[in-house]
Amino acid sequence: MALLELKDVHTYYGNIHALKGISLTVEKGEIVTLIGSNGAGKSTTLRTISGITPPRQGQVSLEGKRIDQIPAHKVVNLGVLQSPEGRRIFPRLTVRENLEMGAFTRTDKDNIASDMDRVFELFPRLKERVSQYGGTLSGGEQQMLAIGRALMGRPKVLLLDEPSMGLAPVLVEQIFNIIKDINAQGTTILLVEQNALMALGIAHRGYVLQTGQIVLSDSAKALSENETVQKAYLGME
Amino acid sequence: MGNVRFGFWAGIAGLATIMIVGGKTIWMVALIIGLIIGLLSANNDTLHTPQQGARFGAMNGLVAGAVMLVGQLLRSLWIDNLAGQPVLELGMGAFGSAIVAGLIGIVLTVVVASVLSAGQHLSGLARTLSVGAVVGAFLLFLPQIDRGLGLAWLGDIIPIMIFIILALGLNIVVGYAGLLDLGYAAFFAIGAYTAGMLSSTHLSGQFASNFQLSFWLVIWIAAAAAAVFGVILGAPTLPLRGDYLAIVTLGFGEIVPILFTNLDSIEWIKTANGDPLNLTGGDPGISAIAPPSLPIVHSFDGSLAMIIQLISFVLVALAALYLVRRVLDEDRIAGKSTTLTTVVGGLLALLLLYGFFYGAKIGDATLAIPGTSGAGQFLPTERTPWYYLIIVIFGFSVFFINRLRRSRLGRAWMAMREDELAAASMGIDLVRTKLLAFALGAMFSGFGGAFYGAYLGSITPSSFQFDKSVLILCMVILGGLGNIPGVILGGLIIVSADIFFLNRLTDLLKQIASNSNNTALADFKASDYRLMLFGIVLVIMMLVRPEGLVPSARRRAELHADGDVTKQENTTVFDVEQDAQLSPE
Repeated sequence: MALLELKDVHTYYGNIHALKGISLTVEKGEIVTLIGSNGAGKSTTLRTISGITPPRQGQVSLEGKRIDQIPAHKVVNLGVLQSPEGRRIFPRLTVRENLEMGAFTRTDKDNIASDMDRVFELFPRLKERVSQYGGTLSGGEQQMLAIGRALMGRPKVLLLDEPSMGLAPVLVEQIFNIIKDINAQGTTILLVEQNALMALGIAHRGYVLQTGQIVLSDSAKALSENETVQKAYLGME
Repeated sequence: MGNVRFGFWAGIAGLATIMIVGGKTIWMVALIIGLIIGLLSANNDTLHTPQQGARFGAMNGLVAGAVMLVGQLLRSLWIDNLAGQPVLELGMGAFGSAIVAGLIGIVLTVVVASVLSAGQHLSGLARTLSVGAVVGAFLLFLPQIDRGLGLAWLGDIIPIMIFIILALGLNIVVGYAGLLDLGYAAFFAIGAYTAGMLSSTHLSGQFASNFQLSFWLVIWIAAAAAAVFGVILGAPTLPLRGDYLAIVTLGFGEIVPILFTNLDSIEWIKTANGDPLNLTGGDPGISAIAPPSLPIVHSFDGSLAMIIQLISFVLVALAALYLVRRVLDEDRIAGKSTTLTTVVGGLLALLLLYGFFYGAKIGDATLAIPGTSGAGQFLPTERTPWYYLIIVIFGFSVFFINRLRRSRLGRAWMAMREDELAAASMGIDLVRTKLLAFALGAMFSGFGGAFYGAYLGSITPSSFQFDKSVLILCMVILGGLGNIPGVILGGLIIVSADIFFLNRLTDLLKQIASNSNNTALADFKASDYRLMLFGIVLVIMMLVRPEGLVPSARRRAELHADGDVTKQENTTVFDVEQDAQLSPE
């Protein structure tokens, strides 16, 4: 049984039909990436999974249990955590408070402290800035904070929405290495990216989205060798 | 050495007060300014040790005291002559007396400010005790000081305290949860009317009964009613944000006083004489609201009333206990012990029960409580017991709101204010969190409203108009959104300007006019200019110090971003708010 499964999911924004029957699976321990151009429905897929924009049709299930009718704040309790598009850290909370917010639903105080140490191990930069306000961090640090904050919720599956957005290439590489480490430590990851090259570089499998539909799915290696994908998303002729 | 700008401006405020009010004002003002300097020294990040605190307090107190000495001289040598008022006479002529009075004032300011600022920078229990002792002693002896100096300020201090409590409540909604509420006076009205209906015979009289509930019970019911209406009026605003939310709350703020004006003839409910029910008293409102009395229950109509009161007291005590535990039990992340809050709640409950049995035993027997009638009833003419009562309510509010801020719920509000979507992704239930903000914010206006009704003895819909909502909102913004000391200071400044300074200034000008036969001056009423002055102050504030007088550290960081913020690569404090929520990605 897949850890996370979407079956024929249709999502709307008002009258706009954003997802037109998405089906995908994420197995435990994988990094799965969704690639596609602007407006293909990548972020909407994540929002649908996390309950922020519930689907009008279709099923989302976690470990075989349906979660598509559950409100967003309860989906978090079940272990689906999101590092949202645009990072959305809390600008007027300190780094530490931001991380504590990630553990908002948890009550196991001792484990929270050790999880925070783990986040600081992954992102030593955050430790240096622990009492600084989130809004004063650089873009890269904010991205680290957003990922760290999601990790504080002990995710079964971590949803990452465009972690490379607006970052310098050096930083992108650094962030992707850390994502790989997080996965190696046992966290399942669903990664949405416009930077298809980087995403396919660390993912096990990938799905290609186009105008709300999945047009291709394969192993990451196969996708990066696929001619259409190379042309459309990897900038190769 | 140090920054004495704060002391200077505090001194200017003192100077203005001394010049306007005169008499022995200077000593009271010296104490108050000393307290304010001491309390706000806690917000100064450059102070770390008690010694630094004491030095800061002393320097600022000295500067403030010196400015006030100048004020005393101006008053004694110039204004007193203009107004033909007796000068402050200490037996050494106008000049000598002014100098001596001013020197005493300097000593008072310096001592209070330095002791309190030193205490602020102790740690843990020592800090709580020393600050509590200084502030507590001042609040405790304020009526005696007031009487001793012949000032008769209590009549102004009580309404100031009521509005500060309201501002603290609104601060929960606007400052903590970030929900702009332009109709907060509606909840104040609901609290006051609930109390008015239950503790006067306005309603029961129409049904040929003389049923009246005790203030001690009614204040909880009023708070609960306000909280319930907070939820009812908050619910439709849930999907709204920012400007839209503000407009809806504005609408509610308009509707509620109009409802209270018009619900004076309800056809489908008939009274004992077959007339339509007069629920709210219409324009004249509700009068003859019973004042509180000590002992808490002082008389009974019979055993049934006694049983009803007993049961209600037990219920109220349990509800209070539950509320205190339920809300404050939420700070597991902060790791705060809940024992203290349980103890406080338990004591509160015991006190209520004790009051009941004590009252039941002695019935109408005389109990010697100063300032109350034989049966222990608060007298409208004697302010002292009212003052102590409002101080207790104020202390409870500050304690409760401070705990609330640091609780789990407080954190949820903060996150929601920063970014609703991100807060939801952290597992925060936005509906529950928002409604609790409305409910708890409204609850404090319920306390304020119940006290207000009992204190004035009558309430009218005109006391709860839009201008009150704006006034309360201005206190919160002027003082510093989201910061309890700031909100208290903002309330103190705005309400005292409104009901104290302008009235005293009008009186003073009248005296000067009659002394000099200046008719133009005699017609000048300073209080007519209140809204204009108010507007000017707000415009200046928003331009010069948009974060308020005593901002919370967060707002200061946001509005006065220093170089190190902008130097960072692509800083994005605000672009996270550029939310493309409704468009597909």
